[in-house]
Amino acid sequence: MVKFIFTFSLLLCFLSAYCQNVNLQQEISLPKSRYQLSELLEEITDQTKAQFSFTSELNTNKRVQLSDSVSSIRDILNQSINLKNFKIQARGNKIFIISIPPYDRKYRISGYISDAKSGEVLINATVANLSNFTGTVSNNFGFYSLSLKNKTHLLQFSFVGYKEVLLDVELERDTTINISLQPKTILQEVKVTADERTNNINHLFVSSNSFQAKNMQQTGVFGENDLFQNLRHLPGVQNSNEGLGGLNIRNGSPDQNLILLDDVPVYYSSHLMGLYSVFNQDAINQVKLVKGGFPAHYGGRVSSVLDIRMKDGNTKKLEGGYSLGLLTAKFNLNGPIKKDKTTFNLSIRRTYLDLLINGILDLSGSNVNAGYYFGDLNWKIVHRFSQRDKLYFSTYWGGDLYSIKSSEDISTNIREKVRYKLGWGNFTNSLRWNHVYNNHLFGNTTLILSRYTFLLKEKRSEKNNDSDYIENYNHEFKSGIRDFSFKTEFDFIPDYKHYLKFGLEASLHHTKPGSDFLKNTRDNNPGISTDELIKSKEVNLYGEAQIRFGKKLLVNMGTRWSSFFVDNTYYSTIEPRLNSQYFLTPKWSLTGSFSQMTQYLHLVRTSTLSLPTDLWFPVTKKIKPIDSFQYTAGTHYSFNKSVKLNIEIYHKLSRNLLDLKETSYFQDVSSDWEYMVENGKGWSKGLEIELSKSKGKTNGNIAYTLSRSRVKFESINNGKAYASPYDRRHNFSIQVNQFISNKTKFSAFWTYGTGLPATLSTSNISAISPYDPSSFETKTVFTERNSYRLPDYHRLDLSISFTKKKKHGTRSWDISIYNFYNRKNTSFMYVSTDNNTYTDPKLKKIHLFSFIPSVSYSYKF
Amino acid sequence: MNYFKLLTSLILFLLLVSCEEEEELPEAKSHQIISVNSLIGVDSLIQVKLSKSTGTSVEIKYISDARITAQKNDKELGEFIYRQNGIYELPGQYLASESKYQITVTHPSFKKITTNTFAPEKVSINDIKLVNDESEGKTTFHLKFTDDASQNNYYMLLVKGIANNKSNVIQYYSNDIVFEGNLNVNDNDFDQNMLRGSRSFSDKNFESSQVEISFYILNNDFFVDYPKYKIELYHLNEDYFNYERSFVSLQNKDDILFSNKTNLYSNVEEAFGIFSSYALDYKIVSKQ
Repeated sequence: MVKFIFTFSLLLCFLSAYCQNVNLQQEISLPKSRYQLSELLEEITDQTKAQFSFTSELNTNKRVQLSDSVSSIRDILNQSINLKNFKIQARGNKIFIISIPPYDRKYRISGYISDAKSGEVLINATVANLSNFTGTVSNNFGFYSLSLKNKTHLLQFSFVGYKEVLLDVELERDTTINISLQPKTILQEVKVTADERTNNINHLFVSSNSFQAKNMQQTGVFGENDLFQNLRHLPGVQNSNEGLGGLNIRNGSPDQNLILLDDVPVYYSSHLMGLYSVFNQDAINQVKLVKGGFPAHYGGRVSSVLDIRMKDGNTKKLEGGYSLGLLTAKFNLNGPIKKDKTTFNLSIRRTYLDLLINGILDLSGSNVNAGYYFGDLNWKIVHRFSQRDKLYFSTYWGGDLYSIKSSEDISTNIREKVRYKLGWGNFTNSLRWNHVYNNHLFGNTTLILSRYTFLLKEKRSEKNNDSDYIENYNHEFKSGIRDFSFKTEFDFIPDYKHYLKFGLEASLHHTKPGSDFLKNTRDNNPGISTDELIKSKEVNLYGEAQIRFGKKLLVNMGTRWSSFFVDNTYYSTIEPRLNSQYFLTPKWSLTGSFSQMTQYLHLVRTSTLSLPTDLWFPVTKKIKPIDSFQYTAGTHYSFNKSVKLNIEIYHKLSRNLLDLKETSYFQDVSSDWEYMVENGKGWSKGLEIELSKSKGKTNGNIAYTLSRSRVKFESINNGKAYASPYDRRHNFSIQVNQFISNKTKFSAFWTYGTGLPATLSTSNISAISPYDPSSFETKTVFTERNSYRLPDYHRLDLSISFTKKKKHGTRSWDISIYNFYNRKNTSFMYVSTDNNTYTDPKLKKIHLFSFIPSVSYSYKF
Repeated sequence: MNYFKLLTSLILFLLLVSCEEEEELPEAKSHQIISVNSLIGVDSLIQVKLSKSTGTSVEIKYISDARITAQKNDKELGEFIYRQNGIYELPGQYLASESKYQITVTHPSFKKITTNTFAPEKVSINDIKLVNDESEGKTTFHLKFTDDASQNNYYMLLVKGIANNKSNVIQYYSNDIVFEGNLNVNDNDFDQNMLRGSRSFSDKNFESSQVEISFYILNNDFFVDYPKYKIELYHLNEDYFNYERSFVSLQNKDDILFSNKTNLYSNVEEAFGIFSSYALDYKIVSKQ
């Protein structure tokens, strides 16, 4: 037995000594930094006793430059040998440098895809390898990366509305190829040059729509081409009131939409109380709307994401345009500052209602000067330092301003001048740096400043006879929110089957519920100055992986960890996300998704509309963040490259939604809001169907949404569930664009929607007077929330545009009619009683925009 | 909030482009609910008035067959007796300050209702001065009282004109910060907030416990020449304060279409109305 143990132990010792692998992590010190490869291998052998084994394919005469004098064996070999062609393995005391067969070698092709005419990057353009129908898509900055085996490939670069580029490539090393696609003229025939299997490579079509701004031509009230108006022909997207009230997506309120302009959140996205969006179409390159199945890199709101990318500017030549409409004038100029290096894009828009009104007032000899206007300025500058580095700086300033100036004699020798100003607007800035670390890794780092301000000013001054005016009253009120954010995000693309995205966001939110400044020298009162600032911090970490399983299943899974700090309160949430798409055939796929979203900022409404006076507040100990859980399932069928059918169902649960308590009134919103609201839950479900044709002389889309949305609050409506304010059972729209010729385009848009819920006061009570307990007054009360419905909504819009090429550009006349058959759509209704008799109450319905014709002229050069 | 200005401008804009249609009111989708009304002063007889919601009719429907019981500091006080016009009284029981009262209303057609109030202590007026400025057409009052800084206090100030042994609540104005701009002189201007005209205030803007408030009346506001004024300082509890502000807020909102659909403040669960209390001190001053 002892003999056996001794022999066995000895055997083990020998075996272990024999099998001991060379440790590739072993560090060695090299006396020189430059070697011939054969000399280097000998040096390693001398120091480690490791034997090298390699084929004649390895060029041992190659000169090698090393970065460090002390390094591990693996690092030294990695620096010296092309790992695309050879792999390194250690076995026993031997190091094998094995040649990879040529057909197994992988090289990477990467670069940017852009518009050949303007140089504008193309987002979500497809790169397909036609030999095996694998591929990828370009990211938000037009960057793509694809790994291919070492042989000849036929690559197809394509994007909707552009001519495809077919490229024969034979890769021998990692290669950068920037591709420019030529835009198609609209009437060019559709030529299908490739298999349908290239259509959907790496695209996930879960509850999302992407558009290029140049294809969005839907006009709204007064003929203004408006982003929100263009989105309203999509299923699941509606507006709450005729022309007013913002955008409602899948029954969510406007404040539940995350609206990003070049990665910067925009807090108030409407002009003129919600009639128009704040986004000037001239400045926009691409828009992506996500209604469900949210990827992990989006977060902070619970209903939808609207990701808007501004144009970088033409890299080839200076171009621009202007337009004059009934309501607005617009101007755009963009082009290279330094060709192919630095570009700029400037867009300006302004209404001139105030000029018209003041002109009329001046003509009538009035002492009053009043007006309202809104304006926007978009500015972007992009500089390309190299193929790997780009710097972007973009700014948006937009605001609405209402002002009144008047003067009058308040006594025989004293004249008073009064000035009121009421304004609100956004100011956003982002500084972004794109860096291609290597052909696998793309990084984007952003610094963000976003500000929304509501401002009210009143100034009074007086003068005696011929003296100058002296200011004696000055009152200012300000509220708003300001964000300072840092965001860094990486796209890691190891191969065509995997696309990884991960990043970090950190934000400081400064919320100002209301600051007052009052200086009143007239009554010798001391000045008042109150200011309150709520500081909160938000940190988010996220990671997502898009993985292709075989050729039929595409899955995007990820997680977002969000955390929020305010005062001494801390919230943290793990938000799982899962999207999947299974291709039954190249044309037909099934989709499914689950996503959890958390919103840490609440919008407290001061009325039933989405008004600029509404205040953003961070969560508190009492008021918790909104959580939503959304499930979707759908199917997508492509009849051909132009005609597509999408059907999707969704189910959304939300908790910690806010509504005003039944008996609340705002005494001081800034300090009392959390006691005036109550939190509850809501659930929405719906079916969305969309049939679209994107190419050809006749194109357009048909959309239908069937939905139901309910909310429940413990102390509202006797604790019974009731219809949410955005519950529209049926919503149908059809949009048709017909190119009559190369120069003339006709469009028609018809929409129908079930009436929205309304709350009416249909009961009276007797209420004691707070000033005289023996006296009583009749007060109306609201006993049931949203128990009535506005009448059904429908309207038809028509437009025709005539374009003509001129010597220096293209001019266009656009004539449009809003609400062609003059449907009186009810925007609001209320119960009205004769104030004298208090009898015979009537239902009053308010209609806004009826038949409105408009015309605009534009010129592009 | 100054959003009243914005709403006004919005309405002006809408007037330009809107039109209105009138229809018969659809059938009411609501059930009847009790309305409780009781604002009781310290040392006053304890009374409650009951009525029910009336649908679209404005005719008051009193409730005469309810059973109301009361407790004082968690001890039974007895049962109310019905008098007339919906009024119930607790015979021989007068509201005592610094006491908690609770009433319970039961009725076969309605859910059981319970509500309570804490009666505040009287806050005395230390001094009141009147300055009559004929040239400016206004009479200014300077009121002094002591605020108990150890607790949150709510007040209401009423001015009554006395003539021919009758008194009427009259309009007064103030630029004093305690009114938070509710009683500025230009109260018809749209610079005012939704609480314009509210005569209640809290102690959150007091700088010391010795409070001095200035307010004035405009002589041209009245057809009657009042030789005397009664200045009433109400010490309220929080429910009364909320009720007064809610009452004013609803009056100011009136027919603004987009105002939030909320009701008069109520401290009565499962019903409408108010059950609250106050303590009053007053001074009568003569016009100089």
